[in-house]
Amino acid sequence: MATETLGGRLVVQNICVNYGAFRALDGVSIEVAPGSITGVIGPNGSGKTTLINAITGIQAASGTIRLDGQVLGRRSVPRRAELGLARTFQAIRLFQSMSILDNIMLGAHRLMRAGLFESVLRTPRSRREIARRRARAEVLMSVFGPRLLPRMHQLAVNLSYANRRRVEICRAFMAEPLLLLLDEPMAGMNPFETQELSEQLPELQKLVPTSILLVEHKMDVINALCSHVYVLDHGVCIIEGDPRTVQSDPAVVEAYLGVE
Amino acid sequence: MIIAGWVVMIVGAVVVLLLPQVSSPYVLFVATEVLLYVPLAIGQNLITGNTGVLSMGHAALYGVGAYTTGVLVSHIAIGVPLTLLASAGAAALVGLGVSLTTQRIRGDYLFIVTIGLNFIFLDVVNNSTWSGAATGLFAIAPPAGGLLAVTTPARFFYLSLGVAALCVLISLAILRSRFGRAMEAVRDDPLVAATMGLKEVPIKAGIFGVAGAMAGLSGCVLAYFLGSVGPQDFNSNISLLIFEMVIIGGLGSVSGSVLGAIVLIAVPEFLRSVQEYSLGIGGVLIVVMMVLRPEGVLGSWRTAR
Repeated sequence: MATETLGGRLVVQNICVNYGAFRALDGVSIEVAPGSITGVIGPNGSGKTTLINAITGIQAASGTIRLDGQVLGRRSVPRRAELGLARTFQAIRLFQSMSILDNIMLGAHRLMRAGLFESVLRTPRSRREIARRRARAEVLMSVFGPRLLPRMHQLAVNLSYANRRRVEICRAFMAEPLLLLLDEPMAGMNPFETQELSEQLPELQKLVPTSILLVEHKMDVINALCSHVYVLDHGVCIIEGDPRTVQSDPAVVEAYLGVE
Repeated sequence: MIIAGWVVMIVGAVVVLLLPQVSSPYVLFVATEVLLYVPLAIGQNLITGNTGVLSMGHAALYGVGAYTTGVLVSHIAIGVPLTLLASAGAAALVGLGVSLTTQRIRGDYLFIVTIGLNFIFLDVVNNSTWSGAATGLFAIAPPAGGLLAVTTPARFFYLSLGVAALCVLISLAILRSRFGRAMEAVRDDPLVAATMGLKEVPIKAGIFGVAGAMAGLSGCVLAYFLGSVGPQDFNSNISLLIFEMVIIGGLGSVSGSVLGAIVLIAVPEFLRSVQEYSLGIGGVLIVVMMVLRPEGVLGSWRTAR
């Protein structure tokens, strides 16, 4: 991949988040290189989801967050989405009343150029645009083999847990984001499904070139996918580096397994 | 199946179009009344059924439309097309204003605030000279021979039919577009919708504007139909009636809105002896519906439990 043309560099500097007296993030700085998959690990309550919420603007935070040099500052959640941030949620959040296809198509909202009148009047331009995006949605679904494609007109609420995860991941890739934030995408999946997804994520990334910030618990997933990983504990980044070096660090072992 | 559907629609359309020729004046009157409520129920359904906003002030938007026509007609010589436009515009602006000023209020709280909208509207028209205070405005008539000169019951029927059909088409077109999905996304999960770049405030305001315009059109036709406008036609009972139409007909369904208008206007009319109880009948129907079919007769939206 030509990294010079590829955007999606995230630079987070010294961000802090307080929940009342509790400091959820305490001066965390991370960087996601364009086109990379960068991991964030840490025990429960270490601030991983708070970090994603701060980057997407759901949670107010001090410090600076830059996407390709642009300071996100006080921009609202939708404005950040328009700039090219997309995410999934640890507890899957699909639009329950809609079909799989409608859910995934909504992901492309930031890319749609036909305005309100064109869409409502179904002008040829807006129909072509929708046909193009729909073809794209089918390509993304096909990465998951026969799991989503034959069911795309079914209501999202009727899907299995793993399939709902897959829909949410497709929906996030549909935005063709500069940076994709995945919040424990493998949570609740069995070892086979986990293995499958860790092969499918790079495939999706090949179809939609984007940087990925991956929050995950499962170390083998991190080992397989990430070139660089940050370890959070109690809202502080205790170490960073390549996954194998990080795992053998005594501080990480202590945070994860406790001291002997 | 598709052919059968078309046949039913064509037969239905012919019957409706020929109604003024074949029906008694009374039936035509009731049919016109039903048609006046169709744009109201459709607008309320866009707001509550599709966008998930609990608003209970629709009669105020209806009233803004009716009074706009009433005031214009009593001051200047103006034709029907212009009063339709003016009423739609005025009610749309009020709808937009209501949505933008209440954007931070959600759920049940907004329901209560919008009940207040009815009383604000009534206080304004009851205490202003331009609105004829408590007696209202009279002798609202279209200029003879003008474009869309509505002078006979049949013409009133066709004008209401045209307005209702226009609102049905607009509503269907919006819901079939990606903006229909956007509204439903904001309803289902506003936070997730925001992470997709969907902006809740303009979406809700836009829908209030569209629904306001529809209510304004109905209000304009009503002003001509009755020949007068008065505060009693736009009180909170009317808002409740419109709200009931949507709950009974089906949240999120355009055909449900039409059905709701028929059930709550025509049925009590033909059961003359119980007409005084139409709100109460609606209430009983809602209780029964909530138990048996909470999404309404033709509703599509059933929240996950």
